[in-house]
Amino acid sequence: MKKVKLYTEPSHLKEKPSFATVAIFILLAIYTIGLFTPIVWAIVVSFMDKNDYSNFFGVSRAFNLGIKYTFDNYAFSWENLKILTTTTEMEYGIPDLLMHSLIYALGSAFAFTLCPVIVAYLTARFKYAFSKVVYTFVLITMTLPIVGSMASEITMLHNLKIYDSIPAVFILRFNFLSIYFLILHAQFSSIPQEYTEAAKVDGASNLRVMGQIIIPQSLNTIVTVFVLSFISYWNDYQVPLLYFPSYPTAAFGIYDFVQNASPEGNYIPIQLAATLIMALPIIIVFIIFNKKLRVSVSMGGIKG
Amino acid sequence: MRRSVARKINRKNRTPLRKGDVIFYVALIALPLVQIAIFYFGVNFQSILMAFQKSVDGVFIFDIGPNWNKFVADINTKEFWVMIKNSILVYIFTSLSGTVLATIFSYYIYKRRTLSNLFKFVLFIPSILPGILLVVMFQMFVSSGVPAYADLLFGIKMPDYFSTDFATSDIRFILVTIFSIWISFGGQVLIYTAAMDQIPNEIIEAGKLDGTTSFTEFIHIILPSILATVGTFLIVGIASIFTNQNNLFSFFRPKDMQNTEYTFGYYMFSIVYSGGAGSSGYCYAAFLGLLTTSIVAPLTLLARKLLSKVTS
Repeated sequence: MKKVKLYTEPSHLKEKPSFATVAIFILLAIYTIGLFTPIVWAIVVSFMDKNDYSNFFGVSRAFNLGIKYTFDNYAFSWENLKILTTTTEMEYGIPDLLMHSLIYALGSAFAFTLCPVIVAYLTARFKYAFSKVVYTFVLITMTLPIVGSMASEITMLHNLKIYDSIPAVFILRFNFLSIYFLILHAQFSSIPQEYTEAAKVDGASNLRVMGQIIIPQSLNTIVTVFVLSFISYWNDYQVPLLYFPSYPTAAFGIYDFVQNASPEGNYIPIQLAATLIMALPIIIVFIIFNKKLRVSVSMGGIKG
Repeated sequence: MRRSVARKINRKNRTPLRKGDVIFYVALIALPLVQIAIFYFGVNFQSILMAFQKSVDGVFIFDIGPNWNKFVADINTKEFWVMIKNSILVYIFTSLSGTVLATIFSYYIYKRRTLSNLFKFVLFIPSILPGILLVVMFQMFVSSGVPAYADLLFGIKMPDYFSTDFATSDIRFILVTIFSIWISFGGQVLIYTAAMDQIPNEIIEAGKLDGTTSFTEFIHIILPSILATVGTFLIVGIASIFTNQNNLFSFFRPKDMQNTEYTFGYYMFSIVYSGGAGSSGYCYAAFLGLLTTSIVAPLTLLARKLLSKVTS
């Protein structure tokens, strides 16, 4: 006798597309086209000869045969475009800006990740009364918005004689008052205490338990926090502008090349080439960590 | 008797105090606490002090007069109230309308409709690419690319809408706000979609059995389930009324800006940017910060209380 397979409908039942569904699809399609069009236009134009490009021949000429495409804009930007700092009157080219960005983003991301990892581990694994105080304090600071402390923060750096240095910003970033503390706290809390007890029975110290048993189990979350922070600091240009103006970063370079273009750099293809060079590292990071980042954003949101 | 039992139970949940553990705990938590003491408590305390000070040759002296007088002079100008209006409009357009769009798009992606994975990827891109890069591309495309398309395809001669020679501050403000909305809701979509994924499938199936359509499912099941998440975004956005710069500094050089384009967040940033440490501008920025915090903090707490009443 044939077995009858019971039909189970999937939880997202397929329906005929309604008018609303079609309308939302069209809106999303318009958004996608609207997002990609300037990006594709910028990439194509960045390869155009600077003399070949004019205001009335944008992408339309991209499909004409005989149009001259060149890497010269990228080579020219890399070698010639410079930023002059107002504080030290030193010139920095794109390689220098990328180096400043790398140091700032790596160091800040490391500090911004390390501190909540340590504090979240301590407060999650050691159920002291003080741990609860720390946790409650973080919740309060996230609930209570404080506006306009930037002037005071910069003044504090001046008073401590550490203004206009990148390592000083690492000190600022070494704090645990962020959503990532809560995420990591939940992560560390979910690991059974039996792991710790078993390790201690075998003679492991607290440091060893933390470094070799608990943290490796949360490495995925920690790496995601680090990557998200890295991207955020790489893209930031206002903090470098205000906190260490003598060491301009790539994001500030994009701003300065476009807003204060020198005569030789005042061509749209060259400016776009410089812009894309400086955005390339973050695009590579995005391609590598794409799925992990999208999961972490949703994780952070739920936890929030 | 009952209280002592409760205390004993509570103590059981606490880690017993062992010397080695306490030394380890204190040694590791000391530095973060010192950092918080200096750069959270210290900075905010100093900010409060600076609000009541003025700068004389780079030295801060207690005198609330200059800050208060400047504030009174500011609020008696038309530009100040245009700035407040701009700030509220930016909040309405980016937070509120962005939230509405994000919720609708999230539902589309949650239901795994056509090309939902592609849209999920696309919506995430503005969260990753540098904002200044998107500004440059958007601005150059609107200034240069759009007129080219209009001329080539339709024979229409369009001006550069970002040029101060042509555009009024209203046009530029609209363009900049459109950009802000355009990049603002991508991250929200992912978070709302994840929140919707947490809704038990049994509830959705029960609704289907009762004959719900997509619309009634969205209104009666989905929205109430994610109300806490959506509400949190709106509440956090209240502070952004006074901090959102609307990407103005990315779009325009300060000298090309007109006062009627300012938002409050941009105004505060421009005071810090142009002032320099030790200047009276910093004291005025601290004064404005204290004022806005005293407005935003109770407003945020009230909104949280209302949200918790609605969601409970």
